[in-house]
This record gives sequence, structure tokens and C-alpha cells, in this order.
Amino acid sequence: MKPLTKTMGKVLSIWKNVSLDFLKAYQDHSVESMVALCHKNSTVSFTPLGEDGKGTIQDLGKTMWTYLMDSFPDIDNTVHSVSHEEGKIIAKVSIRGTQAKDFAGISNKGHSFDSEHIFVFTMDDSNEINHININWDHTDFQRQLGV
Amino acid sequence: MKYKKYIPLPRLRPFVECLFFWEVPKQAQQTVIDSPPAGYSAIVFNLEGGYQIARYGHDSHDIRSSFVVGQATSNYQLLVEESIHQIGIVFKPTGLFKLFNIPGFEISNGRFSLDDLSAASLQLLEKQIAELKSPDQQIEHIQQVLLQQLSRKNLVPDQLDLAVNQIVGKRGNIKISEVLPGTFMSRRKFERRFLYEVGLSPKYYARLRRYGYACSLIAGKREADWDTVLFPGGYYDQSHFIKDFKEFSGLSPQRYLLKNQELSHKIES
Repeated sequence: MKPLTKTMGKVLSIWKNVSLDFLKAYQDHSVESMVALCHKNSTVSFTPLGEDGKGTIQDLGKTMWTYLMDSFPDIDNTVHSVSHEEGKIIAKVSIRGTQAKDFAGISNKGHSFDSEHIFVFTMDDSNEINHININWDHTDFQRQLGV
Repeated sequence: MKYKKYIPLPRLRPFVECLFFWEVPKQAQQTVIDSPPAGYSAIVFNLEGGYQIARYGHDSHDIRSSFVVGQATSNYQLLVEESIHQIGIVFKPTGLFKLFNIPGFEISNGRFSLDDLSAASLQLLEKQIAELKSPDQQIEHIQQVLLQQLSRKNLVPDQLDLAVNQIVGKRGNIKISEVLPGTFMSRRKFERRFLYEVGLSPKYYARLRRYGYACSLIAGKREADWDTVLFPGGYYDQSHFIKDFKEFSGLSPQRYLLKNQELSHKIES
């Protein structure tokens, strides 16, 4: 971690707050508020899903988060830490929920999951989210849901 | 190498863990000092010299000016060669926010110079203590300034401060569900306020605090009976203990025991 200039310190503080607002909107099940914090051409990568997990936030991101909230109506998160690395904001987040509908080929058994996720936010000059990379242990996620 | 720890005045104790004076003469060769996450934030007035700092898994960089440091989530090393003279205030987890309005969330895993934070009152304090001759005088002056700040803000510990200090007192060995009822907050509100003021979630903070305490039990040693570290440290199984050491220090407990160069290895008085 390099020493920060005065301006960079303030910018990072803004970026951390934008990232946290995104995760709060997720917690509030407001996909519109999540997307409103992102640039219109922003992209997302749900890493464990490979190429199928890459796309734009307006399209893939919106669809995925709406689908998740529909399949896990009590989905919630806890932000454990938010730090910065090389101009990116890294959030360690626990996401948990109880399955109420079939989700992405996982048939509903009414099981709950609690999974550590890493969100890496890349921001642009206007302090909007430009890209989000999301990673988690997908095998463990499937195991918890009874696969 | 001289290190002196000062217990804060009673009125400051809900917000301040301790104050310290640290003086290092110029070293014949580079000295490495390991520092695990302790669960505190601090203001460090760097009155002379400097050193390099390297966080586990990251490049090192120079520290020359006075700075504010937030909660760390991994071990770091100080690489010392030249002389150093520092005076510091170690805050309880919510203390820096309560006394100086610096949210822990914005400074976690970071060091910010007083200039970066536009902290005029702290820059003035730095000038004042540089003019005082002895560490005892400097510490006395800092405590008076902190007391003024306490009075000006009419600060008394709130439910969050008490809950956080309970986690500190139990060295992280407490469930969040045991702390929550005393806060009269919903879990979500408690977690959000905790993250904002302290810089981490309550659960993650307790885990780091537990790990930091386990490190303190083996600091300065090269041999350990692990049963006297695991259970007093709040670890009920070895796998969590090993997992925490690997995540926060990059080393197994045994390797950390053999390699660590914590300050307690170096202090003369």
C-alpha cells in the first residue's frame, strides 16, 4: 500500500462510501439503487461462473441480482471489511439466504446458505462503479443448498 | 531501543487504550519488527526519522510524517534502519471516531498523514509536542488536549462504545449475540454503526482481536505449549487457529512462533 496524496485519500474515501452504498442497496433488495451507482456501460464478472458470468451490469448484473432476490427472498449481507488496493476497493462480505425457488439449476430444497464473497469495485473519474468482480466458493454454495 | 507505555487518565479510558513513547537509535543494520493486527487505531506523531513499512503480501513504503492508522486486517513489518522518535495515542476501537470524527471505515487498512486528513487540530498538536522536551511532558500535554476534546464534545461512552469495549475486554472471545442485547439496536443497525465507527464488522473484529491476542501470547518466545495458547486465546479447535494464522500472517502458527520479530524481542526498557 503506497502513501496517499491528499486528493487520493479523499477520492478513496468517496469510493469506499460508494461501494458501501452499493452493498447497502443489495441488503435493502433495491436492484435499481445498486445499478444507479454504476456507469451505464459498467461490467460485472461473477468469477465462479466463468464466461457465462461476464456481462454488463445493466443486463447480466440486474438479471442476476433480481433472480437471486426472487429465489432467496430473505437474502442479506454483512460487510466485514472494505479496503483499497491499487486503486480498487475490495469488500469482504458474507451473503446469506434461504432458498424459496429453484435457482440456476439448483432445485429448491428450502436450505440456507452463508457464503463469504469478495467484491472488487473498479471506479471511474466521476466516482461511478465501472466494473465489479465477485468471487465466492461456488462448490461450497451448492453443497449448502443440497446439491 | 526504548519503549514506554502510559496508562491514560481515567476519564480517557473508554476511548484511549494507551499512549506510548518509542525511541530507536540509528541501527548498524536493518531491524525488522513484526506487528500483528492489535484491534486498535492510532495517531502517531513522528518527531524524528522514519522507517519502511510492509504489509503482509504488499510492497514496502516509507513512513516519514505523522500519521493516523486504522484497523489492520493483516500482519505488517516495520523495517528500521535510522533513528526514530515517536509519540503515539492508541485508541479504543471507536475512540478515534468519537474524539476526532475520523470514521474507522474510511481508514481501515490504511495510514494517512495528518496532512491527507486535513486534520488542523492534530497538526497543531504535533507542533506543540515537538516543542516540549521530555516524553513525560509530551504525554501530559496530549492527555490534556484529549480531555479538552472530551469536554468540548461532552462525550460519554454510548451503547456501541460499551459493546465494542466488551469485545476488546474479552479479547474477541465472545459471541456477537451476547453483546447485541445490551446495545438496544437491531443486528443490522449494530453492524452498520460498528463498520462505520470501527472499520470492520463485529464478527470480523472479534476474530482479529482473538488472533492478535494469540500472537501476544507467543511474542518473544521461540517455543510454546499450544494448549496454553489455543484455549486461553479462545480457540476451541486447531483448524480455526491455523486458518487465522495463515490468513492474517501468511504463516502457520509454528512458523510464526519461530520467525516473529515482535517488539517484545527488541525492547531494552
